[in-house]
Amino acid sequence: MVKIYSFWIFDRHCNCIYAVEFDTDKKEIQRLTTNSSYMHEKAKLMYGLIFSMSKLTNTYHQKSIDYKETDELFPLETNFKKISTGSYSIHTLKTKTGLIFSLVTDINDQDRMEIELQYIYREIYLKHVTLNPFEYNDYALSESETKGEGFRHIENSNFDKDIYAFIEPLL
Amino acid sequence: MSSNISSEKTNESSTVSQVDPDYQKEIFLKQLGEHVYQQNMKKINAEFFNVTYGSFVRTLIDFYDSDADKCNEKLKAMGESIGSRLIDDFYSKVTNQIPRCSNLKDLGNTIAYVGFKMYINTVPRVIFDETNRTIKFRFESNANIFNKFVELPDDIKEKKLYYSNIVSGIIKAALAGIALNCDVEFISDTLLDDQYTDIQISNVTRIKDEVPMGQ
Repeated sequence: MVKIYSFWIFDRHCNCIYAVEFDTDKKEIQRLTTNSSYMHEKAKLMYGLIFSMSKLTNTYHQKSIDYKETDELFPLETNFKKISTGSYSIHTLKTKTGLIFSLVTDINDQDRMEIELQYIYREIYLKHVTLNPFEYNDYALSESETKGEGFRHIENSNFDKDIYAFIEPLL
Repeated sequence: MSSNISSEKTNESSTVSQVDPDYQKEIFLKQLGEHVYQQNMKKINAEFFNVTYGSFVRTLIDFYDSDADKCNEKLKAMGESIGSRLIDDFYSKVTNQIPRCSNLKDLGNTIAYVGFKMYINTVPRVIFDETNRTIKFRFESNANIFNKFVELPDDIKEKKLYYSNIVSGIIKAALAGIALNCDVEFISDTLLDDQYTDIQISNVTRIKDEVPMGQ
């Protein structure tokens, strides 16, 4: 049985657009809201970790296959999928469109959470956010909100409900 | 007769000895497009689509007092807001089966054989120009499903309204979603008495990945 501690979505402007944190006894849920500085700080740390890990992964990948950066248009990239530590692991899914989905779980899992993350992207995110004409398509509305300086996030009750319904049995 | 047979034989042997990887990739993309179209796509009635799009363009023309340039611009802008959403839909439908693009020709083939096939069930001819680095999608006379039932009146024809200009916006924004900046435009349209409908992609450049502040 997997225990999920938190779930995060980052967009391609390095902003956290969705975050939810679960308590171990399922009771308390911390969400990303506009004035919760605690979650914003945490989101920044989380993004920093994922960002530097993927930078590192790409460097090693390109070295390992002896790749020379000649093609600027279609660079060869790889994505890291999991970081494991002594007490928790972070699973990520980076989509081609630059979104990063991330789940923080305990280390008891034998299976990878890739299928779950793919499901969240394909079924829940797509249905409630991408194809919903009243959600922003791009959460950074102006130049000043890019590069991790944005503050907008998904405020969609159906999305919340579906995410919770999906994650609850895994808690 | 005998010469025919011999030439066929040489052809066969040449295809066996050196299988063109580009050709193989094309075949794979065609099959993938067909598969995704059959399995994952929801279909709607084509007449309903045509009538909806028609009434929508008609409203736009009335709104701008038949100013074709403004209509073209607006159609493209609308296409861009469709395309930026469609790219996520595209990737979630084709899942992980899509091969990586390594050059512009691959990009053109992928858009034509998978993208166009999935969403409008038509596959245009892809004409890739090596020297100018442009990709052209060519629809034969009746292949563009947007144009079904449509005949433009003379005054609008003179002003060069590209009736299905929304497609160019869709392609532009969809490519922007995967960090490729480009210019997409119609260069001819069968509705304007040209022989083919041509959509051209040019000036493809890569958008640099954003890095967080302070990095």
